[in-house]
Amino acid sequence: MAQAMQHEGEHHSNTVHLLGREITVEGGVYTVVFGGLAVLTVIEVLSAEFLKGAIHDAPEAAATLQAIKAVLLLGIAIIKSSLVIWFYMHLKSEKPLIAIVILLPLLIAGLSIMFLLAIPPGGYGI
Amino acid sequence: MATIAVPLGAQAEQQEAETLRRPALTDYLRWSVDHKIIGVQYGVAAFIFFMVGGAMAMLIRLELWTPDLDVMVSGAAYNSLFTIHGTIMIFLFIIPMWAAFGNFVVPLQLGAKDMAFPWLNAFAFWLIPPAAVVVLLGYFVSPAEAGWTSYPPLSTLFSGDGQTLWALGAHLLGISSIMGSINFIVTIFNMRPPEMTIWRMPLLCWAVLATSIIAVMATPFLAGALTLLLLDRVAGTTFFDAAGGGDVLLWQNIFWFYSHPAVYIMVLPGMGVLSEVLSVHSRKPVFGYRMVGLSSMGIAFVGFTVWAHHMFTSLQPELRIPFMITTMIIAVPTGIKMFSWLGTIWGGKIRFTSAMLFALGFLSLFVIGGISGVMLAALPFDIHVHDTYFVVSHFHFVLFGGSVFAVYAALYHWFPKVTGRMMNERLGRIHFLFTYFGFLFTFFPMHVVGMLGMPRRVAVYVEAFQPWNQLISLAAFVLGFSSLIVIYNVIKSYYHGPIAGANPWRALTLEWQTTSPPPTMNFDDDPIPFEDPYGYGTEASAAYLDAVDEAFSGAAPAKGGGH
Amino acid sequence: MAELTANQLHTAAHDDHGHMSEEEHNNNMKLGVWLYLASEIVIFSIMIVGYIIFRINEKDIVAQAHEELGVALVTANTFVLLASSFFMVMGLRAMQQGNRAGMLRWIGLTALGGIVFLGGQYIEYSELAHLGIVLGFDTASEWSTFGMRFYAPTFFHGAHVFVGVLWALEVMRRGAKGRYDNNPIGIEMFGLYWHFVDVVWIMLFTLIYLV
Repeated sequence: MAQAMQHEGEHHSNTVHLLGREITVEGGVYTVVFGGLAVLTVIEVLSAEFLKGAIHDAPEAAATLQAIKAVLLLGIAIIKSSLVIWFYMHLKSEKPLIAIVILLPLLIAGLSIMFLLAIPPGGYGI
Repeated sequence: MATIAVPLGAQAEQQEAETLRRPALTDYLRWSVDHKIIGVQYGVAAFIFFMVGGAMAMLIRLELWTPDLDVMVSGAAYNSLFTIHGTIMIFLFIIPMWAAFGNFVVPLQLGAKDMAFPWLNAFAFWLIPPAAVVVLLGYFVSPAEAGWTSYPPLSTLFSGDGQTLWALGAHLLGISSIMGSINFIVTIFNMRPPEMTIWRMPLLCWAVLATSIIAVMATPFLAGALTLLLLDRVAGTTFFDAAGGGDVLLWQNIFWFYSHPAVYIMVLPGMGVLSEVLSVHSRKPVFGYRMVGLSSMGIAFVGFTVWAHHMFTSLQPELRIPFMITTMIIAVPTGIKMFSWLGTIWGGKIRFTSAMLFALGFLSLFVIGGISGVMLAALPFDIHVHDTYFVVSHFHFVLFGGSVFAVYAALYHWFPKVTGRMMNERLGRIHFLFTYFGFLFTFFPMHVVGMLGMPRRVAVYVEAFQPWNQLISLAAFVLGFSSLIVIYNVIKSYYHGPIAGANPWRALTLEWQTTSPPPTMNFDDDPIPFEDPYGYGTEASAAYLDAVDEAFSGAAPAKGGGH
Repeated sequence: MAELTANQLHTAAHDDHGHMSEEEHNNNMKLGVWLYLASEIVIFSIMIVGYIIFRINEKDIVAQAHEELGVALVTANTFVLLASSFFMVMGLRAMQQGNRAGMLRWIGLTALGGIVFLGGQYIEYSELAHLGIVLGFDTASEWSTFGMRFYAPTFFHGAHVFVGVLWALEVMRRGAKGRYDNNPIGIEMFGLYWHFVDVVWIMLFTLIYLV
């Protein structure tokens, strides 16, 4: 119960500790997370546009740049998703069971996606 | 309540019936949120579909009596016949049938008052009748001809509009199954009383938990695949059409992502039933309780890594060996269970009740199905018997010899709890003999014709196979007849069976520690679980069972809805 | 009492959840929604994988599509959805603090965000249709195989947003009557769904429009 109270307090407080500083803003941690999501989205779009230009300008390095682009953008997307799940969906204060419930399908879906992607284009040519 | 003057004998009869506190038969036809009513609704509906699908199997066997087309008007009609047979048996019979026993028994075994979401439970059940109407309507409109697996391009280019209805119906059934499974998982995790720890849970609950996890994680694959199939059929997309840049193998992969785990949805609860029945009727603790519980989970997880063994002939060759290995690995947790069952009955005081007979029937037949499964996992052999009756034989051994025998064992075991009356044992034994030998002579010869090279899914075959097919058909008719015996037995016992009392089998799990049938909220007083759900044969358990017998005998239970 | 059938008694007893404490009830609801979302993950993964395979095999068509689509509209749309997710969690927070009017305001903004997003998607679809990108396979079009891979996941997601908007309006209707004053679990369940839809969009946005 004491723990629950603590969580309640955390969600309702307008003060957040971020990078050693105290930030006070209406909405507390939720607002800070939203700010983070917005900044990450801007970074994502800008870097996508920049890399698209770079790939266009340097066709000889296209494959490498495309790979960098994919990894970078997917990394940012995963960070954004995790922020939403962790703070907005309150996974932070849930029991570990909930984390398992959400990780298990990710594992299974990941397995199937990896497998389907491994199918060569145009079939197996048997 | 008004008292009516009745002759003495009838009065005694009436009193006896009143002490049973059974729901009226009409309650089963209405919307109800009580898990006990929903369980019976599932069971009866599934059994009706079993009879419909069984009648279709009889037609299939009649057609195969001669090597030529005679009963069916065309090969296409035969195609749609086995398609609807498979669809009904899998989606409308086995999966809902396990929801029936899960619904009735699991909350009772846990000592809970109901499922976690009673309304959702009822909703999941009431999705089944409209889904069945849609699927069956498809059969009569313009039948699907692609088999229950619905491989494109058969299901996209060569099937009638019935295929669209088939996909819609399967979609609804999938949604129903997901909702039911979510309910089971939440019930098992959250609704246990504090004394019912996870390691005191009866093994049926473990099995239903594993099944539900599979259903929640795997059924959406089917939903996704069916959505794409519907788009292909209705909206002109070409996800599965190579001519339009699609990939036929995509369907096979996604479908088996679902359907291989779904094989375990169909058989895992049966394995749970078996642990219950064997332990109770041989008066011995389950051998290796924890390993059996964990092996259910093991099967659930390994089950997700073996799907491509259904595609050995269409898969890229370098992936065949890995899937052969995973397929053989999944035999290990199944082997653990088999070992546990044998260890459980070894040296026990076996009572050959009908439930026990069917459980032993499961043991012997499932072993054969399991062995032919490992044979099929072996690549060289599989390529030889691919698409022959050997495969048909294998999956009927695991699904009929396995699941259906477990359904019958569960029926004889829990019927007294559901209705308050015992089944007729003599009829049960006759039923067992007909079913067992009918089954054996139907499906065992299929191994032989399969290895001789008779292909499945065709109505016309080489004349040399005719004697075999006539033997199979004869036995199949016996098997079909045997199910009439159990219907008669159920109806007769429902009205005239001997009163069962709370605990006719002297079992230790919680569903027996209440009246039969249980009161509205399942337990009049909070039940106290025995320290070990299978601790038979000790003095403590005998004392516990005596106390239960005493608590529920003599004094007639209070009338009305007393909690 | 005598007139009530056993079935009716039963329904009454089960419906009021008389056998469950509020905390148990809330825990059940939350776990149930999470499990539902778990199954959604798998469905979406099937929708997405169809696109990724196409993305890998048909680089040129996708590059061309990216040129035509641009990122301005969809970025704006993404911001709207992210903001509505923020409004959602603020609505839940307001209700937890006992501020019913605040909750109604925030959830109203959430629903508005969903509607604006759907409007943006409609504009985008109209532009694409104008370019000849349609759902079905059409040999005449150079986009013949792109349309279905693009529309299937995005429309499936849009349908989820639509359901979410309806759910938000229902939450507001119930909330206005004071349904959540003592127990905001209903808002929390909707929140889980809405944030999940947002997470799916974060992934779709990156995978389909940017990578």
